[in-house]
Amino acid sequence: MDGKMQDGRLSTGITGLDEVLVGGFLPGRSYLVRGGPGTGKSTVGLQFLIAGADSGEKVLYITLDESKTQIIKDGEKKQFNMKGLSFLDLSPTSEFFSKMETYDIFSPAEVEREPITRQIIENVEKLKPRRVFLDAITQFRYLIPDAFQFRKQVVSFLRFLQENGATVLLASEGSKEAPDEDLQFLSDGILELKYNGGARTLSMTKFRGSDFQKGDHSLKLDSTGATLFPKLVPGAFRQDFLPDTLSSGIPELDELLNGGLERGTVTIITGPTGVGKTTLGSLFMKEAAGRGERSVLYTFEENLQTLLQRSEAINIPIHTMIQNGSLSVISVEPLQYTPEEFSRLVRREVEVKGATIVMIDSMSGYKLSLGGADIIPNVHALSKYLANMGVTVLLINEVEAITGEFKATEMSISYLADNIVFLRYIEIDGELRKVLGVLKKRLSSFQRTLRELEVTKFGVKVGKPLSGLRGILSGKPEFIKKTE
Amino acid sequence: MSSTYLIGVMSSNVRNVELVSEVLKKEGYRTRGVNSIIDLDDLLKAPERPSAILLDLSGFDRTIWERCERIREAQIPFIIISPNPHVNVKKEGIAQGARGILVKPLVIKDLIQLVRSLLPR
Repeated sequence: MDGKMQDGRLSTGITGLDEVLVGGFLPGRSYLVRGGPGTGKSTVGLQFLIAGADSGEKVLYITLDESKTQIIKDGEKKQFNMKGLSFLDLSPTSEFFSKMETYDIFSPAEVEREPITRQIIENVEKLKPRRVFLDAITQFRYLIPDAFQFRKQVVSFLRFLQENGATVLLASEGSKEAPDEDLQFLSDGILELKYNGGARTLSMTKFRGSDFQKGDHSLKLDSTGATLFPKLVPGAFRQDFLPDTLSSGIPELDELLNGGLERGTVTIITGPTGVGKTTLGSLFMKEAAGRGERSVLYTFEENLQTLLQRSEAINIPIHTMIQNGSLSVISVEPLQYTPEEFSRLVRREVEVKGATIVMIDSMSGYKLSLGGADIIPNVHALSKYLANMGVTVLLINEVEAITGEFKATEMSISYLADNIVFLRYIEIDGELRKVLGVLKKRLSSFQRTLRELEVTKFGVKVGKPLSGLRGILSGKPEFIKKTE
Repeated sequence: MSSTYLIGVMSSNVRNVELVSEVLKKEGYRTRGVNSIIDLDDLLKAPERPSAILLDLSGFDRTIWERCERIREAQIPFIIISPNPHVNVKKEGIAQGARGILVKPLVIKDLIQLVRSLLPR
């Protein structure tokens, strides 16, 4: 990875973080990396140093807690190239404990400060590092108990590093025992790391002299290190596209939709289980494939094999579509991704592979799999982004009720949709039948009648408008008796 | 010249002796560290008598007061270093002829000044 970015910014070494920092860290500044245990402070610091070392910069890791050997071992486990790193290991050796090196005659501040300061000065002056990571600055607070002196010392320490040409990352626990409020004022930027049960997040709360992407971004720590998945900001994306209408390939359905679905709109296809929502969405993808366009189907619930078989059985040539690259079916396992991570996957499909239709099957699967409590803002951002990019979005929404009082969705997502197509079971003369209707269409008028839907091995059939029936939405329609 | 002065440093904690000795050496004094009452007795019997003694009380029992008396009789000025600011320690210490009572942790600057004041100009 290249250490230097545009306008002299320094790459953070973390995919996604450079994007949040609109390019990277500003050189010669100091940044506070705050967070509790296990939030990824050391990994963020380490990757920052490695990014520099990989492009030939001199970098220095000052450690006060973990030993150099341990850091190298952990780094190599993650396949990092630890060769270019210089270390200043100020962590206590085991002898401190075993050889009774404890003392009580002077305060630790009096005894330890001077040798530590001296070692740092010697190392920095000798190495002249471009990047320094200090883990953790809050340790210094034990050495300088007086708040005023601590602040003065830190300011002077940072100035010393900067005068020597270094960009500095300071890890801070921000605990009650070692508070860091003053450090937050002193630093040029703050990276706030959090770990709340399932998900790790990183948010930038301060970045002097630069813009940055706000919000809690999803941070992933795994065997290869840290990766950041920035929150999707739909406003930042826009692509010109032809405002044409996508046909379903079924004249009756197109008629109902006044020609079809407009490109770059969000459509919710809603209905109870087994009524044919996915099938209906697939029709638009089949047509798109015929035009040489590419679609992506994210399936959260259905087994891939079942989906393929089912589609083939109703005359949707899904195998061929996948083979010729006009369709990609991606099965998402529960808790595999965070919402931000998923958004990044979708972005890659759109920006790199040029997908023009994205179908999410289904909303409840999305909610369960991505484990987010408030999925609506995420779905909103994703749909908005896709619409801005000229991608047609199909959101499959399952309603619990098979029949009975009509409800468009049960997740308060109707407001997101430009179009809502609903499917229903109705009972006519003791027989369960399917109907289809349009509830909302923002960009054009639509037919208000309902039509019968049949899914057969020859494909999907949409009938003539159902007339002579009333109470269809209640699920128990009655024939309107003709008055003699 | 202060460099000629030998200071005795007594503490049951080896690291304490080392640290105080380092501080005093930096100031140009010579030091002799002792960790037990027996060592202290040897120090008092040695041909070169120390010009002052620093006594860390931690880890010693009441027999230490007996030694204080001996030090005073030998006309060697001494300072008592106490782990706590207990009033009895102060009383006893002064009664035994200590020239000062310091409570841990010590401030290096204060220690040096006190040591300097013990020594003849």
